[in-house]
Amino acid sequence: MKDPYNNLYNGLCFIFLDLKFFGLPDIFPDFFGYMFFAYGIHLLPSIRKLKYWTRNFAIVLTVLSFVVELDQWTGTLLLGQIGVQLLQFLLILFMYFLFQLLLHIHENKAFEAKTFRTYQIYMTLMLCGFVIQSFAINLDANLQEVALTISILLQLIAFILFVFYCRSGSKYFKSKQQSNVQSF
Amino acid sequence: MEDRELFDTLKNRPDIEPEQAFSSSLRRELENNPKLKTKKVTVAPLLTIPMTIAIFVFLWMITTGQTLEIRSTASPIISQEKTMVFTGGLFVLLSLVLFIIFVFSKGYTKGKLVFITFALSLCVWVGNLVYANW
Amino acid sequence: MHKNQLQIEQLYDAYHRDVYHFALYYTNSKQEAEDITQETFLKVLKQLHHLKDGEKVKTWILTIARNTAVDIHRKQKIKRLLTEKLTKQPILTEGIEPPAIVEKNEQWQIVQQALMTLKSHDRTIIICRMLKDYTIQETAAILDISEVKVRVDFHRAMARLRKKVGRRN
Repeated sequence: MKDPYNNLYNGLCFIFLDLKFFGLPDIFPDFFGYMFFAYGIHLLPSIRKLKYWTRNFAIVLTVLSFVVELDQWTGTLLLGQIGVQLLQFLLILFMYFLFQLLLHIHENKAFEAKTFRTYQIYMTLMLCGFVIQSFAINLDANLQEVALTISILLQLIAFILFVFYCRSGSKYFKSKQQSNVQSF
Repeated sequence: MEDRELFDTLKNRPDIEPEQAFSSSLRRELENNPKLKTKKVTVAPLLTIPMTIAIFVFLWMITTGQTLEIRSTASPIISQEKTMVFTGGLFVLLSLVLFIIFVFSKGYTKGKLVFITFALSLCVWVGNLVYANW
Repeated sequence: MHKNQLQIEQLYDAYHRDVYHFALYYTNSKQEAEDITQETFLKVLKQLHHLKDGEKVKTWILTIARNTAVDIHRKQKIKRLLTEKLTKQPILTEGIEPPAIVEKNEQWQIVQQALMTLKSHDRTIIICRMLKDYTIQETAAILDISEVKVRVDFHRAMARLRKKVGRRN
């Protein structure tokens, strides 16, 4: 069975990393990230309704992010920065639901505790970063730079935290797979 | 089997059943205890209410272009008004950040507080956008 | 509020004996068992609106009972020890009797006293599995541990209890 945590990790990497060269679109397009997320959620071992709801949310975000990327790439800028920031908020909301799903599916108490701690810190950092970024647009140039730097730093720490969490998740998943094989 | 026999004797200890008087009095106490059914005032609503009011006042200020009138001998001039708006914005930002830290450090995973956190964050973003384009 | 009132009465009727039995086995004291039962249902009444999953009500109530029993029994133990130190006389608790009387007593008292010498965790597992006949899943939910841990700890607790009962016999 494929590892869902790798897909979740790939998903967030694609969304978080933006590399644009020479006027070309982002080589890590966000909509690929949401597709990875949708697939990762599909692989998670859970039959709760929340799983299907979260996966569908990921699919909706795939479409939305594609529209926003296209808008930016073609230069029409109908949505502009508003679209980008709205997507950022929707990502935070999506991650909240993803964590609810992850919190429900683990029998291993230690890993469940790790999931909970990651959820607490990740959500705090992302929401604080988003709120600070919101205020930054109305500040003077100097202060705006400081505020945006703080916001990006908070989101970077959240991203690194999630990467480490996915690594632990992968290890847990592989050990579970091995113990299932051995029991046969 | 021997274990079972040992525990069977303990299961049948003579005083195992509660006294009828005790059971009845506790049942009556539970029936007639309205004080316990009222929720205690917790810190969370005390934080949420002023937080929500502050954000709505902020939204109202920037959408109507009004500032709060303060009675003073000197009327506020433009730079003072800007300082006031800046201070007000900073206050809202810090309060909201503290509120977010409070909600998630307490470990809430669902419920009204989490909903309010997301709602306030969105309101703040919308408010700042409106103010920027004013 | 009316719905909550009916609920608490139904829960009381369904589970107060279970809670009392648990408390009595845990403390071996009728007075403490009554205090624990009362405290448990007052807490259940306060927290009833938090209960989302109706199917887990039994283990939820017993978890509250267990935590309450640990608290109350610990406080009573400290109170007894302090009183002994201050008055310099040992206080006989219910169920702990002088050796001469123990010999006459029924087998159940030997098992109960051996149970009292076990740690809280072991005592709880034995009460749940052997005295109340709860399943592994229910015991795991009450103690908030995994089912594997219940199985392992149960066997260890039984070994310890058998040793104690053997000595007393």
